[in-house]
Order: sequence, then C-alpha cells, then structure tokens
Amino acid sequence: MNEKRKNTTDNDKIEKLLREYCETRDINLRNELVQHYLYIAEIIAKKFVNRGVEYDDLFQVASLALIKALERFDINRGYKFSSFATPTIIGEIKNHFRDKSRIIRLPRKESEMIKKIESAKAHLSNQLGRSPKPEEIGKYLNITTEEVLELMESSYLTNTASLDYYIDENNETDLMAMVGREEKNYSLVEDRDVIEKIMSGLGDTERKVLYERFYNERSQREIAEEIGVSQMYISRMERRLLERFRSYIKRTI
Amino acid sequence: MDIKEKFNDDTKTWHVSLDGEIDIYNAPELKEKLHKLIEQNPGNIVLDCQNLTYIDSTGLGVLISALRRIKEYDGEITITNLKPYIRKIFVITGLDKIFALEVQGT
Amino acid sequence: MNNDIITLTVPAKPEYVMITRLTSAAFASRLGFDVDQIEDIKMSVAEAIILILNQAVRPKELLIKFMHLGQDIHIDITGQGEWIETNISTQDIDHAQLSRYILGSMMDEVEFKTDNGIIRAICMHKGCGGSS
Repeated sequence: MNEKRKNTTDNDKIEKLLREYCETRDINLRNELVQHYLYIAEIIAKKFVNRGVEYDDLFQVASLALIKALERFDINRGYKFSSFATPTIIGEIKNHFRDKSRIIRLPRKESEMIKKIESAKAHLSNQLGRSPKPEEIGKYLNITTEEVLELMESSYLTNTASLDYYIDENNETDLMAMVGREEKNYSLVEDRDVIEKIMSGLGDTERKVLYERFYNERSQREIAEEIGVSQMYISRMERRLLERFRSYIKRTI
Repeated sequence: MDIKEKFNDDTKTWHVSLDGEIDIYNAPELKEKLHKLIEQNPGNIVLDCQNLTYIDSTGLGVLISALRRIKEYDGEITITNLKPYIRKIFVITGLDKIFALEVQGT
Repeated sequence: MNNDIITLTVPAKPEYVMITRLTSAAFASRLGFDVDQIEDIKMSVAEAIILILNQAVRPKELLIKFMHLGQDIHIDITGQGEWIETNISTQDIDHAQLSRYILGSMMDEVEFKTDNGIIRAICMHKGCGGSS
C-alpha cells in the first residue's frame, strides 16, 4: 500500500516535470526526463534482439527515438507520454532494420543454422525488395517451412535470454529458468566457475537469495519471509541479478 | 550554428568547432558538412563543443551517422569540451561509449 | 484453409507462451505473412498474454483462437476458468501498460474487452499487406 502511494507521488512529480518541459523546452529538464523514461527504450529494444541486429545498436536507436518523442511531445494533447513514445520508438527501430537489411550483424552465440537463416533473409530481402516469407527462406536453404519457424523461435530464446516479461509470485521465474532449467543454450551459466565468479561480486543478501533460489529452489515468498522483507524486494533483486548475469555473459562471450 | 573546420595534415585529423545550437532545422546542414569533410580527407574528427549550447535528437542522429561513415574508413570521432548538461545526455544514452568524450585545452 | 479456426487452451504460465508464439507463426505463415510480420505477430501474442496476466487478478487458463478473414489474421486471447488474485506491484502494472502500446503498434487493430478495469480478453488482427 505504501508502494502504491509512493508511486503516485513519483508520477505526479514526473508529470510536473513533463509539463514544465513542454512549456520551457529546457535541456536540463529534457535530460532528466530522458533518464526517467529510458526504461521504455530498454524494454522495447530488448524485444527486437532476435532479428539479426545487436542489442547495443537497438538501444542506441531506441534511446534516440525516445529523445525525439520527448522533443515532440505536447502534454496538452492529453496522451500519456509512454503511449506516444512507444510507436515512435518502434517506428525508428523498424526503419533501422530497413536500413540495415544489407548488413548482417550476428550475435556471437548463434548456431550455424540460425546464421544461415539471417544470411538468407538478408539476401532474399535484397532480391525481393521486401521481407521474405518463411517458405521462401525454406526453399532457399532447402529446409522445411516448419524448420524455419522453429529456428526463428529458437533464435528468440537464444537472444532474449530471459522470460522476464512475466512475473508469477509462486513459481520459478526468469532467474531459475535461465540458470538451470532451460536448454543447452544456457549451459554456459551452469558452469560452476561462472557462477562462482559472479557470486564473489555479490553482497551477503544477494548471495543468499541466489543460493536459495538456484540451489534450493525455494519460492520468492519463502525466502522473503525468512529474511523478513517483502516478496517484491526479492523479485526485484532477482531481476537485478539476472541483469548482471546477462551483461557478464555478453562481455565474456 | 557556426561551424569552423581545419585539417591537420600531420595527424590526418579534422578539427571542427561547433558553436551555438544544433537542432532539427540546421542538423541537415551539419550532416552534409561532416560527410563532405570525411569524403575530402577521411581520417579522424575532433569536434570542439565548448560553445555548443544545445543539441536535440536530430543533432545526435547526425553525429551518429557521421560516426558510422567515418568508421568505414577506420576513423574515429572525438568530442571535446562538452558543457556538462550536454554531456549528460551522451552519458544517459550510452553515447559516451561510442564517442570518445574528452576535455581538452584550446 | 477457408474459415478454419484453431483453438488453443493453455495454462497461464510462461512455458506456454512459446507454444502460442509458434502456433501463431505457423498460422500466419500459411496466410502468406513475411518473416518480419510474423515476428510482430509473435510479439503481439506474447504481449497480450503479459497484459492479461499482469493485473490485480489473472486467469489460470487462456483460450486462444486463431482465425482469418481473407488474408487477415485474427487472434483472440481470452482468460478463462478461475481468476485469482495476484501480488503484482503497481510498477509492474505500469510496465505492463507498455505492452498495450506495443500491441497497438504491431497489429492493425486491437480491442480490449474489460470488465471493472480488468482486461478479460484481447482481440487483434493484422493484414498481410497483400504481398503475394
């Protein structure tokens, strides 16, 4: 309940800032607002990582689009900023894909087949002047349409590296899915050394939470009760840990 | 916006100073200029921004497109003397990781 | 393919989002959508599910219907069975709102069926754009 109240005050503060920015177009206000809304750019950029362009690129495009959206935003129109910014950001990302259709930048952790799909996609895009259909890729690579679809989906799993869009308070979440239960794609994380290395950089509570969740498979609620914090606190900590794993893996691959 | 450029033959570097504001109206002009300089003498670019007072998203976009272009010639863009409130947007968006940001004496 | 309807009932859990994505990909592929459009449709389906699940109450089961009108794909996602209370924080609900906007950008039209502020079903459709 406290959280809800705090959230409303934050929202009010941001709305005031937004209003002031729309009136003055002051660069410092703009920067502060960008910082606040940057999460939108991150979230959207993450959703496009499996289409053959690296996250860093996507984030660049998304954050620039966010700034653009802010600069164009008119609070008097009555829209929520996030509802206005989202299509702008998505639009810019899609433009970026169109511009890049000739150059393929592949994430390093791709299987041979997925690389071939991306290649085929780039080649056929050029040839057809539009995005190819799965069938066309299949014909080109001499595999079935079904295999194309499955490979596209597995590319999504490889690159998205998390199911963290979804929160369920009782069951296993992203962290567990990522570090243990899923497939060979994540075998790197199952490597003891990697885990130990990351563990050594953690605080006591974080280490305990990781241990209890990963090794003992205890629920967030249980751990929260034991430590004496809210379940949301544990959920957020897990999310932060997930980020750390992700960036560690990105750096070391 | 006022742009002044000078090419240093020894270091194969363009020294460009950007005075004033870069926004949606004059960004195309800056884009044309930077691309022209790169065509003329592909090398590195140092942008002196000590008198840059404002840059919007189109301005940032122009810098990024210039960076992409210069990278095709293995060049780099260094941005110097950004005013703190302008530097901030580079940091927030991670652009400080793709451009070298420096403080240099004139 | 005329007027065939595919119906999928899945428990409302993350594991089954993938099945829903794959089914929508296969269905869209048959209708002639290209790979980018298919990725958009897959994303929309996942976002719609997130939206329904990240609310103060959520269903335990999802009924997903895939249909088509000409070359337009229509997808209805309805929460069914028992609806239970969740512990979702308002911050996560705010983030889930983004899903609403993402959906709107990816699909041609989206309709939310709500009741007392809770989304019970989401209906969306997307046209092929006629590239055949």
